[in-house]
Amino acid sequence: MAMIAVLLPQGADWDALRAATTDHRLIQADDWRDLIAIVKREPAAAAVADLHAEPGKDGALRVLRFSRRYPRTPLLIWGDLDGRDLFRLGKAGAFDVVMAPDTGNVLLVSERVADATADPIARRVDRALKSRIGNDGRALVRTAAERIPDGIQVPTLADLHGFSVSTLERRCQEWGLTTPGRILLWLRIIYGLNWLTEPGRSVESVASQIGYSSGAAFRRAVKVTLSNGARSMREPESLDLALTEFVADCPGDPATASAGSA
Amino acid sequence: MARYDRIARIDPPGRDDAFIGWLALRDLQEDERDAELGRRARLRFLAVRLIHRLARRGDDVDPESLQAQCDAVREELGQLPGRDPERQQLADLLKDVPSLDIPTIVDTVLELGETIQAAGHRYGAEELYRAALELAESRGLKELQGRSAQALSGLGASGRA
Repeated sequence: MAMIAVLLPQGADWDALRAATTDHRLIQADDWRDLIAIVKREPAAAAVADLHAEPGKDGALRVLRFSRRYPRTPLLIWGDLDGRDLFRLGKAGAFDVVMAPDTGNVLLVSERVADATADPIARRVDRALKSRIGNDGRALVRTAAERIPDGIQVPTLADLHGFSVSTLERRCQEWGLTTPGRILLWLRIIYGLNWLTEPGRSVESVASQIGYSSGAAFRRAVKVTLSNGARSMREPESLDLALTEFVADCPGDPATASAGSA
Repeated sequence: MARYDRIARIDPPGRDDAFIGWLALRDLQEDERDAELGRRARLRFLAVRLIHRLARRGDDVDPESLQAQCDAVREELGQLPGRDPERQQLADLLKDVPSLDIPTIVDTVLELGETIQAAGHRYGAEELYRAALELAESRGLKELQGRSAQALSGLGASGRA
């Protein structure tokens, strides 16, 4: 269940979004400042905002500020938008728009929200594992990845697949994965490093979101897990390295590897 | 300097870096306060989003939702003068889309693109041609793909979706 930060002052807009996003958690912001505070506190899968939420303020400029601080958090703009608004929103970095006449079109809105909340990191992890791990193993990693923002632990992961913890450990071994605990450790680091590439995020907020007691604890985890230590945690290269080393930490499924190379 | 000028000074994003259909609005770059062009560009943007939805969702697109999207655009056609050729072509397109007759839709999109090109709105035309190309490619319509690519090269743009 992804979290979406929402700035929609009109009740009808909120209801329309709610109807189109039944499997997401929506958090209501009071104004643009509050929207940014929510996203800073807890990495959101996406944000939705009415361009005219604050009369007298330049909404497109707020979009620009948001997209500069949180370039990896898609911002979906909602509302009565004229040609100039749309033109400026594209330049300001809005992810997409929901036009006022379409807000009652539940399927159309849910398609837009689905595009905005699609998890690019889960897809990258899946692609990285594809040549070495079979479908069952990748499905397990996908389940874990989707729930990293919710602080998933090994017993919950086992429950979700209908296994006991010991069976889950055995399956991971059979599927060529590393242990469940290390899968979650790697995924926390990968998601944490991804969020840290946004200039508006603090190590503290990212650490608490993925279940560490403090920013220092997260730094220590990165330091002992990544081969280059915790240097340049905010650089995209660290994220690439974490992905590569996660794949290398998985022994691999010989059947999948040989099918891939055949 | 007014705050909104901060955005005016930003270079326009590439087509792939902005939201779907945004290129149709780029003709506003010279004068973003041109209200008449703003209305036209907005209608082109709404129309082209229908085409992209068809191209991307394929047969999975819900007919009722697509019809509702068309109806929402149709309600705004009154913003263009009654005898405006672009208005007539947009109306034709909105009639064609719910039928899901893809070759006819691509054909209408290409005609609309030509009208927009003749009006001197290069980016609006390019976005329409690209949408036509994507839709033709998504359904493997080789002849229409060729026509769309040719229209794009007529604008000096690359004929790739």
